[in-house]
Amino acid sequence: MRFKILRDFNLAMLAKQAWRFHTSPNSLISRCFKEKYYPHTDILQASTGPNPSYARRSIYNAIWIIQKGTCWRIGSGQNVKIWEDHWIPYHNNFKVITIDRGDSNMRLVKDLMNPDGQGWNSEVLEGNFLHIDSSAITQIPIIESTNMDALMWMFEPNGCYTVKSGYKAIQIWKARSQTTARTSNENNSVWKKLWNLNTIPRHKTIIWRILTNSLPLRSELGKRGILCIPLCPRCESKVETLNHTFSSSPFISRTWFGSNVNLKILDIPMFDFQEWLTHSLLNVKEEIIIQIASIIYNIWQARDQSIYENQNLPEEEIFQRTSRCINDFLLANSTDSETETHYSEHPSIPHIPTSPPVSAGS
Amino acid sequence: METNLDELLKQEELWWDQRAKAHWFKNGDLNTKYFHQKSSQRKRKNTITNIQDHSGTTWQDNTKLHSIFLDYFQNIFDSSYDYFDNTIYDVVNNMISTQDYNFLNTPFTALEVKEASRNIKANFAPGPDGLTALFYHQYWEIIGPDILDYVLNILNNEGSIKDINHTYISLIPKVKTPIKPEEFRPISLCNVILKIITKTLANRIKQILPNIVHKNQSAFLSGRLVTDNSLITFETFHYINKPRKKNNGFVGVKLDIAKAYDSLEWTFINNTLKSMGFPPNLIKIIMLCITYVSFSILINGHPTDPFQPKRGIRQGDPLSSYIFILCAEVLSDMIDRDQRNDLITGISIAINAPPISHLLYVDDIILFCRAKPEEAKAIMNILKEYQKASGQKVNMEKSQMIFSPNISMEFEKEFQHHLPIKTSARIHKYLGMPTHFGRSKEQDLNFILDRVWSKLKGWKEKSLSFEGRGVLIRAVAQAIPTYIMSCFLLPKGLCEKIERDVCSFWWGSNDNKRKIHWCKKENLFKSKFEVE
Repeated sequence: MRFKILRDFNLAMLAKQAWRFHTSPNSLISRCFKEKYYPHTDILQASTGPNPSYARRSIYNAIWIIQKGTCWRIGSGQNVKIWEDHWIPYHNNFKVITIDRGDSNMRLVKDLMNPDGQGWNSEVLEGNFLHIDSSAITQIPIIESTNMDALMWMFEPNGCYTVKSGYKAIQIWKARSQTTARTSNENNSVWKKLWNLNTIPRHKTIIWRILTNSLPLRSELGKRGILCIPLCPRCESKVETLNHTFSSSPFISRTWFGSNVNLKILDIPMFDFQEWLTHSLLNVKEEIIIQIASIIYNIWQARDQSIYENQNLPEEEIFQRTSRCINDFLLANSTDSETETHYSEHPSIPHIPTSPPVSAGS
Repeated sequence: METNLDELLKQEELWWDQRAKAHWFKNGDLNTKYFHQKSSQRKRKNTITNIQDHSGTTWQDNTKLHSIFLDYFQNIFDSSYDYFDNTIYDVVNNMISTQDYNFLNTPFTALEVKEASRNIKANFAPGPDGLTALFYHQYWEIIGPDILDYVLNILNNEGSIKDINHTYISLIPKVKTPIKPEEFRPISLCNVILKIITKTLANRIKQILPNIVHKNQSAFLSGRLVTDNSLITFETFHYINKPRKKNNGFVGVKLDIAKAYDSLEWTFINNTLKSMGFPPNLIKIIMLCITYVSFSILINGHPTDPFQPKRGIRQGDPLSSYIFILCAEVLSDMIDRDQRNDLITGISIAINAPPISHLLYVDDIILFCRAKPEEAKAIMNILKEYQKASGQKVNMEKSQMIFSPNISMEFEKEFQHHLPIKTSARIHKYLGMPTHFGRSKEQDLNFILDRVWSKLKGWKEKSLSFEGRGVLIRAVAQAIPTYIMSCFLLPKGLCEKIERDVCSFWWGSNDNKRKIHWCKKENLFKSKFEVE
């Protein structure tokens, strides 16, 4: 449900402080910090320093984010070390791949440029680096060699650190380091697709609950030690499982067949509803998924109604509700876009009170 | 027929939305129980039923309520100013460079006015004419030219603002069940058109402020953050508490200023601006906006008879904050002057670190110096002079002093003799941030957990849907710790506890009832757009 992981968010915010210390060294707080904890170096290289306060230790804990996610923009090349620093954008962790043999006297990026500071010295590059490195290096533009070298944050187009992109970067690194990268990738694109659907949020939530297995079905309730009869409230003969509720019960398959998407559910052997839903989310057109989501939502509503109000709705009612939901949403959204264009002249207004409800009716 | 109904529903919903003042709800939701409950609760909280006058008798009668508040505020905004020594302003003499002067002195343009009108929040409480800023935004095509004419006439040709200067004072309770007039915060509701004028002025002044205002002031200036101040304070207290030789210690003084905005003297503002070197035209307009005011107090929605204030600036007027920090600049520079003359020694937390003698955040002032009686005397002199000149009152009972641990009692007593402020072991919080941590950080920061949970457990939150709860968590509950988190790393245990509370709320638990958590915690904390 995409709540923030507090620890990571905390680190992302502290990294912002470190970034501020680095980029505005003249502010009062940066000067105090520098003199006390790292008088001879930069915050990014420094250790905690003598007798650190809790604030200092907190910020120190977040330094690695800046170190990991930044890359030098080459100006004069005087401050950037060839072998240690991050300075080649979109390259192996921004570092050179060639191994330092230790025998050349090239230390700084400046040594790789022509003596007049115009362009790269291709002879030196070809002679000392693997081809993959040297070709990447020659692509780095040297705009003004009198400019100072500066750090860029690689997750924002303008190179300035923001807490939002910092948090995102942490999540990216986390995902990469996980061993089950492939499966989580698939999962990720499912979630991405789901939360990006342009439909009623309630419908998205119900799909989320199906995929995470968190619907209070009677079979699930039984597993969690709640005493109840695990039978489907409508047919009262079979166990109420995910598959039963959303696909295999005869009433439901009639619903699917009669609906706009016109599905013949029973035809599929070894059917697993979650799998099917994941598959359709990834492969089916968005309009149809919206239809499916709406049908699922209304099936669930009908199920609740049959439990709490003792009312068994006919299939037609579900069709009607489904199309009504979607139409209302489309209608509401079309007026939404109108008001939005109307407001586009005033981009600074944060609160648009005339915007219509997320869904009307139903 | 159905579209008609939709239209009506939408209008009704908008009404509740505005009434409920849940600003975190960005794009309206259905007209639900939540909004009804939120607004009824708000109304109940803001209704004033009984009030004590200064003799301690409680009144419930409506006319009496009116007269008590009227008396109280007339008293506050009344001035008996008798300080005419202009040497105090020498410290801020000629602070404005010629370049800035020329910038300030150019006539105002239509573009600036339009920009200012857009900056005003659309749905905030309107002034006596009842028109919200939304009205101006929405119908700018129709009324824009007239408004521009009117505003520019006032700004550039000193037109009269008599017609629009009436202001309501709305009373916001400072405590849970307020019974005295002091326990309300007076917030001014100006007409939006007046706000447009002052906002234009404020936008202009804002641009030159960083050149004038001291680095120790961190409020309202772009590029300066409130966390800067709290970090410096934290570091300085860390330094003060360091063990060292006997009686060679420091002291931190936190000053509490009573009614900072309401008691600022107009003469003081005028002289300060003049002495800083603002263009005379600009000063004239600013003073016009500040002084040509009549107030009515809103009590349960009914305004009292109007009265004329004689001092004070309005809370709720965009210009006020800038005026205030310009005036606080006088105090800041007085302390600086004494620091240069070695009367007050600031604290440098390391050998080459800049010495810090004071930090300001609007009216939150913290002073640092050596714990010597002479320095106490110097501070007291400055405070006395500043109070007399500006009309501000330092609330000595609510202020606090913290000494280094190595200072003996007699020494403290001597210092206190010159600066009569009570000492305490530690300042609990400065600008909402802890200034000192004990052994257990989790205990010190536990208040965050309480605050998060108290936001979630309220009875009205029961009536939210899954989606609504999700928004509440994302927009409100998870935003509460961010302020502390921008300076300190929360202990892992605390993070976990907060996340646990968030989960239980999401699944519908409250204090009395536990609900089933239907899926793993990790599923809830997946980010919205996971990366490939």
